[in-house]
Amino acid sequence: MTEKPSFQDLLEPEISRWGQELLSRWQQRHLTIPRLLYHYTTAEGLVGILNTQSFWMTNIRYMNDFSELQYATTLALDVIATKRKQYVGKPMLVEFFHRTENSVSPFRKGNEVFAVSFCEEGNLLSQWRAYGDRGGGYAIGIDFFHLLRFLPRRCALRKVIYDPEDQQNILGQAIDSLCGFVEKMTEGLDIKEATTRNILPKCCSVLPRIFGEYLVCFKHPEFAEEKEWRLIATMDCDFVLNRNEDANLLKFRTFRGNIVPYVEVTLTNATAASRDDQCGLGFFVSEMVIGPTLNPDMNTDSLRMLLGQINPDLCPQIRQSGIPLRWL
Amino acid sequence: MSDVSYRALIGGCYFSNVPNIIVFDDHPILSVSSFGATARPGIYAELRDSAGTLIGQVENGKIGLIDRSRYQIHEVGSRVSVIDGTNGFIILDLIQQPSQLKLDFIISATLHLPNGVPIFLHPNRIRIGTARILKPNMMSLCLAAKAGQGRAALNIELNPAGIPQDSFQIPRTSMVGATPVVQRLLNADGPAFTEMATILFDGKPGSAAVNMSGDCYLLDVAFTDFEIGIILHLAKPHEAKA
Repeated sequence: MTEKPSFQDLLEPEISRWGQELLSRWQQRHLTIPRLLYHYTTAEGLVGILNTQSFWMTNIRYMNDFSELQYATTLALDVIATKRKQYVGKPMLVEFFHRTENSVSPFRKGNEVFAVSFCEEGNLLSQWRAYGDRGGGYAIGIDFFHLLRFLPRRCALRKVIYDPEDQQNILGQAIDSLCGFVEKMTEGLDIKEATTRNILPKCCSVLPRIFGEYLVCFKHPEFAEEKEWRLIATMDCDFVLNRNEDANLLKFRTFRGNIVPYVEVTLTNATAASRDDQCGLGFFVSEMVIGPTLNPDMNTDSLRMLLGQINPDLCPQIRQSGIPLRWL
Repeated sequence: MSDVSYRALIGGCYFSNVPNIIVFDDHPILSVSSFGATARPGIYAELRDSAGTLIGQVENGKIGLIDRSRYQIHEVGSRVSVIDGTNGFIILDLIQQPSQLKLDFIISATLHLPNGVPIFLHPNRIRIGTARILKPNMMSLCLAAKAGQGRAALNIELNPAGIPQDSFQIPRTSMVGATPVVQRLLNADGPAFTEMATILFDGKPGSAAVNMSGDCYLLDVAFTDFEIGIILHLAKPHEAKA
């Protein structure tokens, strides 16, 4: 006689199915990748990226715009508070909110998020001011559509969302959906029973994962001009508990007295593939934009030499910003 | 002068108003036609594997595949790709109305003639045939035709040995300076000519601007106002060169 599956055996696939549905709706938002996305950097950063054919993905808690990420956390807590009031008459959901409200931050220690930023526009004055290094700014135009398949570590490309109403709706809909799921799974049970059967704890563990996906993509509307996309990877950096994770992949650099963790995403596989006619993948740099500088022609020539050295089967598109920005 | 009006990047090279991009023995392998009331350019192509067997077709930009288990279509927005599921190779990548550029479309593809000869329209270059040519036969050159006088830009005679013969070598630096031809044309709104690196063809009807034999590698080449961009044919046995 076949043994009847336990409730635990049924719960995991149910949660997984529900989570996948929600995440696939979320991923739809990020599918339409612009033909080119631009990474702004200094001359030093550019030479480093081209010579090593890799990007450094910085731990998101150490990025310049960390205050923007705090904005996302605050927004999430506000939405949770609003929703909590809405479900106040339902004890199971009140308990659910009580358990989850302090765990929505994607910036918890342990499971760390690493990111590198890109812009839809390749010639933005605000970016030249931020990354221009007083006249030495460059924007690297990259076509990610096929490139993502050639990255050695699992990365996701995410579009940053700036509209507060949109942000609130995304969070609110996820909470409503999860609340409906919790009610369905705990029907006829009291809180104690739902806890001992591990249903409530399991459901509670889902919200931080879902919100972790969302919050790293939310920024203050004041930054909407940037039209930012982020290449994101996660890593369990609690090496004491997680002995399987390769600790050597985590690297450190210093910045203004701070020790900043980062991981490298290498493009050497993609570069090798681009040399192969049959593969059909182009060189990862599709266009270069030289920011406002005193020597645009000189830097155009040196950049052409540098790109030609890496890939001689290439006639790189290099353009100059043309923005009359003076560094005094 | 053709009756189809478009600007496109095909295999990293620039094509403007060339209705037949690649023709093999009078049979179009890749072509562009105006379609419907809007007269928007539509792309037509034959997709074949390395044995020359038909695996699919592109008709007015729509892809039809014969073997959907091996070849997969990835379509997002105005971009559609065909990928070989066995090795991840990109068979076709078509972007219609690409943002950030004043172009009608961008195409890269790996095509094959019915006899299996490959045509690599790589995103950065065009290679025809199987020989691993290290240096481009032609680079940083604009091939343009006068109205009504340009049948084919390139006439390539493929020989069985695949060894390039009579290559047309254009040294880049002396012809165009720092800025590649395609980049200049992408940034130009007007006629597709560059000052120094243009062969303006006004030859006899039925002839080609450049005749080549053997396999071929093109980098940063522009084709403007020809009836045919690249015409391919096999050398007759007694004409084939070793």
